[in-house]
Amino acid sequence: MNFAGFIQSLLGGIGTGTVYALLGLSCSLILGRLQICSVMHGDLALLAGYLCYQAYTVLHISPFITVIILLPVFFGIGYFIQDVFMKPFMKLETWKGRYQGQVMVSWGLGMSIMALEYIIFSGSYKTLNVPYRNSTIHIGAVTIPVVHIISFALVIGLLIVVEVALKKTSLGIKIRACSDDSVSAKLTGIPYDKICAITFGISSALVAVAGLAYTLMSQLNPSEGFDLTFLGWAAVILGTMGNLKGAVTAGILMGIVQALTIYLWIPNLAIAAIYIVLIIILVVKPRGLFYWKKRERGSAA
Amino acid sequence: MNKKRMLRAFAAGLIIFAAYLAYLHGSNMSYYASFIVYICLFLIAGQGWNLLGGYIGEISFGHAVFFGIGAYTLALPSGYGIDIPIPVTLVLSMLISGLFALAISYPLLRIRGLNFLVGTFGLGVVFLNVFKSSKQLFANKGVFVPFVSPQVLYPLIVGVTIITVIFVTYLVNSNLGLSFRAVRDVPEAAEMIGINLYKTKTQALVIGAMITSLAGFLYALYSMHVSPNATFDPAISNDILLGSYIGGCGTVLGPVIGGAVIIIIQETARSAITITGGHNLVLGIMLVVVMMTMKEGIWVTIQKLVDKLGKKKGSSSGKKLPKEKTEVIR
Repeated sequence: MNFAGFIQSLLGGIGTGTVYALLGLSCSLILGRLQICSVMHGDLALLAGYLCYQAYTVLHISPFITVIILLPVFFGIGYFIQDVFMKPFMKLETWKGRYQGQVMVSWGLGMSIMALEYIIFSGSYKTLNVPYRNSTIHIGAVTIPVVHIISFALVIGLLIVVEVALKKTSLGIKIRACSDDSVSAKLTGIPYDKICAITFGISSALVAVAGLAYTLMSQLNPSEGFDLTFLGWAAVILGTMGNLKGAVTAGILMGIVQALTIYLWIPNLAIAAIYIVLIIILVVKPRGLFYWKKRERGSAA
Repeated sequence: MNKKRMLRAFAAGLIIFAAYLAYLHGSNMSYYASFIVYICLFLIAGQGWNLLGGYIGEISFGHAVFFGIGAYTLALPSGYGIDIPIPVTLVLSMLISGLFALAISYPLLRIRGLNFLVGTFGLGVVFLNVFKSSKQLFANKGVFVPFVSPQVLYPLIVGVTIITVIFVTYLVNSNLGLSFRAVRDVPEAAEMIGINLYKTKTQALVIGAMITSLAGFLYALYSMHVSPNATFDPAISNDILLGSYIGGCGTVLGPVIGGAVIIIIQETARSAITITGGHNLVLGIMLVVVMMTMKEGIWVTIQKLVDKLGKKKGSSSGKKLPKEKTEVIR
């Protein structure tokens, strides 16, 4: 085993991990915070990826411009989904029908999106051939793809923006209030349903960015959506529910696990290894890596 | 009430059996015969899923794992040329999947909800990839399973289906089944009267896993060939789950109806929409519509409708007191 190769695969793992981190960030916002359970986020990410692909190949628009256009669109889609499909279940308690119902409804929606992608874009693998896709930066013996750097910058930037927004802006304070204690939040006059819808919209917009990162790194296939969702959820659970930094860290860790499995063990088991590690960690820490018993409420905002 | 439900389950089983025999004797319609066998298999697996998913409310996205364990316990010895009598492998497969369920319950069931959901999905991925990529487990080629004559096999499958439905009916109305529902509806109260939440969930998971492995075992006998793509495919987990949810989870007959509905709709959609994956559109829209309009599934909604109609008839003939009473009890 040579050292440079090990470092190379480690950095590659961080690069692929950024996709999981982005998915984890967007899932953590609704799943960990407001306990809205949606399994359609992977499909939304793929939808964004396909739109980027289509815009680039047909209209020659840079995927980054497409994503900037898509942000408000996906916010609208998310707002609509929460308002129409998820709201009826918000009255129920989290574990008594809410999460089951929401998982099922969002699964149905995700399945429909997947089927539409199959019908429109066919089931063959699609690659977004931007000129900078294969360009790399050399540092010593190690080469880093530019795409990984872009994606890493996106994760860190978005994490900081979301964290600051949650702490400082009035909307963020309202979101935190709703997630910590929905009853008191409603009593103080915060429009709970509207805040939930807005948060779902923000999360959908974030997932569009995740879709861009995914599209830049790997090939598109409609069947991947469901797997992507669960990788995002795995990041949320591994990094403790509601902890955004934890979800991002866990996502990057998952990428490293995947890359090291490919480098040291059997490449076919790369995704499987992530789940094996997840289950082993859950034996020791059932509430995720970043859970400590004396954690103050809301300190991980 | 108990007897009534048992009778209902038995009647449903008999109807399926009768329909099946009618098709088999009618002509050479082997397509319909296999159709009914598949419905029976999904029905058994759905009952296994329903114990934890419906009665306790922990959704599992990976019951194909137990399905596959059941199939591979039969297939692996015969693949290596070891001759074990079929009843022994049957017991063995149930035992292995039960033990496996016990093992995974520790990391996944201690915390409510999402750990179990993601963990079971992950296990499905792990098993599919491990069985696909290792040559010791015959990789993608799969294994051939000893032949059992259809005269024995078909009645066996239908018989096991009926026995499973009756067993689940019995179980659900026993003390254990009541504690399942207590854990779902009022976990705090259940804990207070001495029900161990984790233990109860584990019991449901283990029994459910055994029943599901039974379905896998029968599938292996029926198809005579076992491969990872046929047994550990996530599509199997999804179908089991969808059937139970659309039919009405937390009821005995829900998965029965849901399984049949799902398979029929899937087959018709597949023949109607020829593009790969296009049939998912029908399934997805149906799932959304069912969940939005009748949150508890088709069967529960039908039951409620029947109850309402019965009540209306009762009120028109002047019996007002019993109506109010029943409402209070409900």
